[in-house]
Amino acid sequence: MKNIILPAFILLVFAQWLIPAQMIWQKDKVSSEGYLHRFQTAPVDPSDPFMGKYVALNFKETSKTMSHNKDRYNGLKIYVTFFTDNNGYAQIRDISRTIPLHTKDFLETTINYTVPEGDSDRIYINYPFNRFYMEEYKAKQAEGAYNNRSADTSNKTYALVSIHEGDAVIKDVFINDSSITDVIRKINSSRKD
Amino acid sequence: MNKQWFKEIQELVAAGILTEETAQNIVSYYQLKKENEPNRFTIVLAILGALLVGSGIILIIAHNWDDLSRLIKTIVAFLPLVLGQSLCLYTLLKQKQNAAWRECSSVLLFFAIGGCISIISQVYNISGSLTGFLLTWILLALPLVYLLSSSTVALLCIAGITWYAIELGNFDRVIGIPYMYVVTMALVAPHYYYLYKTRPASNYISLLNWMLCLSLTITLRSFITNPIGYEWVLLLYLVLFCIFYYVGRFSFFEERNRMANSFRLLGVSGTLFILFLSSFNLTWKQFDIDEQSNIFFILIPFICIVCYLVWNDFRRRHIKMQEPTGFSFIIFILAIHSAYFSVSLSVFVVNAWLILIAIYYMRKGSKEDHLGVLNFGLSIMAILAICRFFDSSIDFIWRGMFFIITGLGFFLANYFLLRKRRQRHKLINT
Repeated sequence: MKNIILPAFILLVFAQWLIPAQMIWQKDKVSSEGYLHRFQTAPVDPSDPFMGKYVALNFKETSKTMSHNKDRYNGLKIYVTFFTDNNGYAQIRDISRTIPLHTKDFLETTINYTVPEGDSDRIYINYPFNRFYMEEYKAKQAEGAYNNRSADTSNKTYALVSIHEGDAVIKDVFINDSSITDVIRKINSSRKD
Repeated sequence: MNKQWFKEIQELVAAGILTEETAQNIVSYYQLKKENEPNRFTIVLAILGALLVGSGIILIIAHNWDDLSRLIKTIVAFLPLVLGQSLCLYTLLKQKQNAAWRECSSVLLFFAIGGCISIISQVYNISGSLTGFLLTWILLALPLVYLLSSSTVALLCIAGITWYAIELGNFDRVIGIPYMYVVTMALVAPHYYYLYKTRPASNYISLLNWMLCLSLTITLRSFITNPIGYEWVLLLYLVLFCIFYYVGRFSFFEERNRMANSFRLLGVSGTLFILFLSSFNLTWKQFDIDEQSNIFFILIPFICIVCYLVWNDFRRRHIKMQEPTGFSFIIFILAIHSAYFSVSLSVFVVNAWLILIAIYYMRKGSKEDHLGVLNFGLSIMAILAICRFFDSSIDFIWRGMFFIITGLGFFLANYFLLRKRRQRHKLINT
């Protein structure tokens, strides 16, 4: 028994390294090989006890009307494909329960809730990329920057997301085509001046 | 060794009750025992320190340093992990017998694992689910319970997996049944058994008992799908508390300090809480069960377990008068069934049962000359009186009578018990 403790500990150390390393590798792959989509957003700023401050993203395009199916329930695993509309934002093309065979540009997610609409159902989905992490103080400023601009409906806020074989990575959040980090940097430098 | 105790031994030697040699043997025995025991205070301080440092790591990581490059941030994420792992390795190689080192290093590594996954999630903007994060964290930390024999990590793992179960099946909606909760608890069980066999008097056993009881109470609800028919959920909880009550009556738990017997304490208080809750008319509203609910698949095995425990208790004790608290689940089953005919009948059954429990404890306290038990019975009666005070369906006159009788009961019962004691003391003195 005593002889196996040390090898078992080394195995555990290996596993404790492997999991975060695998997370990095997986997200790097999605980031480099994925298909880019722009999702229109409405950020707010909460905090997470473990993961620091982030800008929480609420997406405008979260639902699609589909024919009624009694087997659909909240939390059901689904696969979503997207297309780009005339304004350059991602829109839901299709929602299916099976993996799309002819493309790698699909997202694996779950049904949030369903609302009956006559003979059809409006299906609301969960986006698994709803947090953009920022430094504690900057996340607060980001919220302020967004709130100032959201009053003006001509402002465009969106998240640039890379999607690959079901997985997704949020690359940046933009306010009027400027990265939210640059917007905050500009605000800070103008305050100093 | 206690100075007072040493003085008393010297006194016994002087009085000729103990020989010099026996006294010396006693002193050396306790000195040796004390030297071999780990210093509890040092262990507590070390664990507290590790918990604070661990929480500090989580908070510093939560700051999310934007000015650092992604590579530096990734290295920073792995630093606490390397530190924790190195300390654990050192403990395994050099300080294996030192409980403070074992607990401290494993607690630090426990928090470092959580910190590492968190910072990687931030740096790479991985949203993920809290349940997935907690489960990964706990499964990566759980082997430390066995490799470093760390009971603090066992406690932290139970706390973490309880959180996971709450997240998965919270009070508003059930996302999924937390099966991994059962798996994790089963993985912690051998450590509990090891402690039970090797160090039955250990404080960790008491802490694990408390954690286990609280965790089971909190998470039971997460296992029920479609929990419509709240009376049945109350029954399930009542059966759980009756199970706790009978487990608390096992000799291993009964021999322990009263506060350390979490099963007994939570069993009795939980049972009474549910009975008081059900003594109101308002509670009995929704006893029709949802056909899709899985509650009976949980309830039936639970009832089988409690029936076995009742039978086992009867077999071991051979006493005529059993405490009624443990049978509350039977009364509650009767009350639920009578609710289909008349809700008032169910409320009456529960109230009558509470009065019976109160009378039982009052009688027991008086018989055993125990003021605590006597007043416990009277307190049940008083709480019931307060509950009925808010019941507008009962006439003022009856409510008033109930209050007066309870108040008089408190005064007279205590008075007669104390008088009985004084008379006995007088008899002994004369």
